[in-house]
Amino acid sequence: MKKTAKLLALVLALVLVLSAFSACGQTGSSGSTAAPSSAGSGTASGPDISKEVTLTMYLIGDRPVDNDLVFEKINERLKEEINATIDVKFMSWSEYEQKYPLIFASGEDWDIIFTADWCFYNAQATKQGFWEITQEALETYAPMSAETMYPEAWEQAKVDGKVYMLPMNYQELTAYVWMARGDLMEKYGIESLDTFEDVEAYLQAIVDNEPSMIPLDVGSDYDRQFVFDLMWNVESNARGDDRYAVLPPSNMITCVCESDPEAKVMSTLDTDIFLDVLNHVKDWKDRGFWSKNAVVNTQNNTESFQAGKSALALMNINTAKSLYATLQAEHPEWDVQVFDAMNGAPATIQSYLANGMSIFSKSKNPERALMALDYLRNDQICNDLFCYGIEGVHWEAVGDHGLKSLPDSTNYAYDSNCNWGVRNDATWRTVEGGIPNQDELVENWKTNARSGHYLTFVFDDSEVKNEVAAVSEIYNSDYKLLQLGFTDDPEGDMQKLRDKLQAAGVEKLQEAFQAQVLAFNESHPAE
Amino acid sequence: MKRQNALLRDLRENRVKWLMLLPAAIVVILMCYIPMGGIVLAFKEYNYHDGIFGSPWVAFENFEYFFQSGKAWSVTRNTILYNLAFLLVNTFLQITCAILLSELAGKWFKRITQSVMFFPYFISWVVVGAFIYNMFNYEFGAVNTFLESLGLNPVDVYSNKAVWPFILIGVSAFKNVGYGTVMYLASIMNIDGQLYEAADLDGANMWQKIRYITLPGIRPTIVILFLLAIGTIMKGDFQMFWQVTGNNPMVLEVTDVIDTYVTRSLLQLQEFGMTSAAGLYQSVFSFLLVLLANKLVKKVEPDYALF
Repeated sequence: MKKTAKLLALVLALVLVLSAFSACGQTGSSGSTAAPSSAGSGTASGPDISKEVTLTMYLIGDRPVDNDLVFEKINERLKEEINATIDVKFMSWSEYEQKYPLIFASGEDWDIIFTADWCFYNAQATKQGFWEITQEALETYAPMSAETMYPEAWEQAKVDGKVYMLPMNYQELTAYVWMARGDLMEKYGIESLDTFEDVEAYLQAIVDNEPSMIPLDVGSDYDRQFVFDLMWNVESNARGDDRYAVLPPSNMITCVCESDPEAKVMSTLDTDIFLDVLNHVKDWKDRGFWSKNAVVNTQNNTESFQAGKSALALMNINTAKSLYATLQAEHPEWDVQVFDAMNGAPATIQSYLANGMSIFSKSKNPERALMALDYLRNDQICNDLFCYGIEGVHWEAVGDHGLKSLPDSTNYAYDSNCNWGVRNDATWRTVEGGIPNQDELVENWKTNARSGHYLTFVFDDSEVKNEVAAVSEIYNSDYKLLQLGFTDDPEGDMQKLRDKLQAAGVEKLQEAFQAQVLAFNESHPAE
Repeated sequence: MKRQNALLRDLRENRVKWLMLLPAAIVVILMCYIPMGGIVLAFKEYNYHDGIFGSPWVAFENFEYFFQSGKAWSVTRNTILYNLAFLLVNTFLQITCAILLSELAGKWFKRITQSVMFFPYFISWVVVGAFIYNMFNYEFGAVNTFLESLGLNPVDVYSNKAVWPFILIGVSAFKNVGYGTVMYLASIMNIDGQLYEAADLDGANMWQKIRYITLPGIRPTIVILFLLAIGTIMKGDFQMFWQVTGNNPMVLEVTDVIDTYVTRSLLQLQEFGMTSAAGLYQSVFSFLLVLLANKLVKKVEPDYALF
């Protein structure tokens, strides 16, 4: 009996200890290492579509209420044309950062996924997560895309010379705008918010008279760098041709001076404008334009504005478009106004990689997936359905390039169904009834919009992963404080930050950047 | 030969007990032993194509980032100190509450108190984080609104390093005391009632009964729970540190633990190998700590050691 008890105790103890041992943060899973199905079984004689296939497509966001209805129609068309149907799965905004890499590793069977330069394109491409789209495959299986593809877009999509994505066929300008409360502006006699002085006067009036409001509620992970970036852009632009270009990814805190023939890579901290920008942000923070606890803010400034908790919000023009329509309906008494926040700094012509679609490297039917994407992207019927829903239910056409949203569009809203990867200038429809001065704003930006020489620069971090991790950590902690103006001693804190970056191995990182920037300039001569 | 026979006989004689152990053993084997093969990830540069076992080896490269910036020591220290503090404070409060509850007479009051204390265990850290934010945020937090209504100056908790250890220890107790109390209470209930009756006859007062009967009676439970807790001492409760502090860079010096540090570093990088490396570092240290703690226990109280 005693022996049994002892044995039992021993087994139990072993179980406990080892479970403690292995339960500690193992991310490893016993994934199978089955060899990937050999790709390229398609014959050169043209697409064989005799076998019916169901393709699984992953999108990001919440499933629109009418998604199944819309895809029923899309599938009818696809079944007819290419003998395939699509099954859509969604991963929500709150979980996509964790889930996205996992579905590549999980061994799940799926085919198509939304991707973008901000959404793991580069990371998964270098990890062989995507199926390579060769020029030949494009011409064979996606003839419509091959024809309409902007050559720059195709070039931009290259990672180590290979393309893994069908980028959107859509030129997009991005620029910051202020969204303000017209009623409050009138109350405090502010006429416009065209310059920083106007904005400061407005915010100061709110600080002084509206104690229940946080004037500009920034600080969340979404918008913590907005004000800093805006001021940086304005300061940088004031240098004309000598302006600085921040190298992507921006959390590596490196930039180059555009006119420098040697394109010397340096830390943003070592530019002559950093201190001015920092002082400007600090001044705003000290005057109470945002919360003293902005660094732990979880609500972004558009949500706060929408909830009536703040008087001003800074956002991208594309965000402003949809928010404006919502607020006009919800709070007409606010008299919401939109102003250009760029202060003369050029708007950015978005990279085509800002949205796109890719095919999973272990997809069983990559060729058919590419054919389906070709239809989603270029076929007027499929594209309209995916982007705006069912005509007559969710929208009705206004001319060839416009549309009016119908009440049911709440169940499948205009351009908000993760359809961005198939946006296409040729078939695009703009929505009626947006921001009144939108055309004026866009015209104004078009005069000096720039695509930015380094916009498509893609940093290969494979040799310096440890340094990237260490610098990311600094970007997410100390640098975040500076971006929001939390410093009592700007110059001292900048020096401290430099020392920390030094310890994190920023020199090695910058050397890697330098070599790649020079190679990039070699292959992408400035226009 | 003889040993094997003994084992077989034991299996036969105690098959019910072995059967009862089976589900737990299966879970542990499936969830803990088999995935353990994934440890190799820590030494590999993972890519999807080659999978876990096919990806190229990189020796200790995945560990470098952790030590490079010189923060390894400070986050390791924070992790251990916080967990020790949680362990001591929570154990003390749990035992105290368990004894108080066991001494209470009113059955209903006892039950309700127990349930109310247990309740916070089920609240997610995200919600607790929101509580904390709404209490302490500078402009509209409950604390500052209260202070201002008394005509006092508001306090800025989120930039004050000194208070965070106390807040964290406080919320940890808030969430976990109820849970532990129930375990200790169960253990107290197991003490033979005759001992108390005998003590009553001898004229022992309440304190003496606690000191000489209850505490020695629950000692094995205390030691086992302590040893188990040692196993997780290198692992900061990520949700707690991330949500409650709001990943606040102003107080990182005193609130950063291994798990939050690793998350901040690798959020954008998505490098499985590097995450595994951090996990392995924690696990190996935990393992050593458990061995050490068990050895100490064995020296003092050989009967209570785990193995």
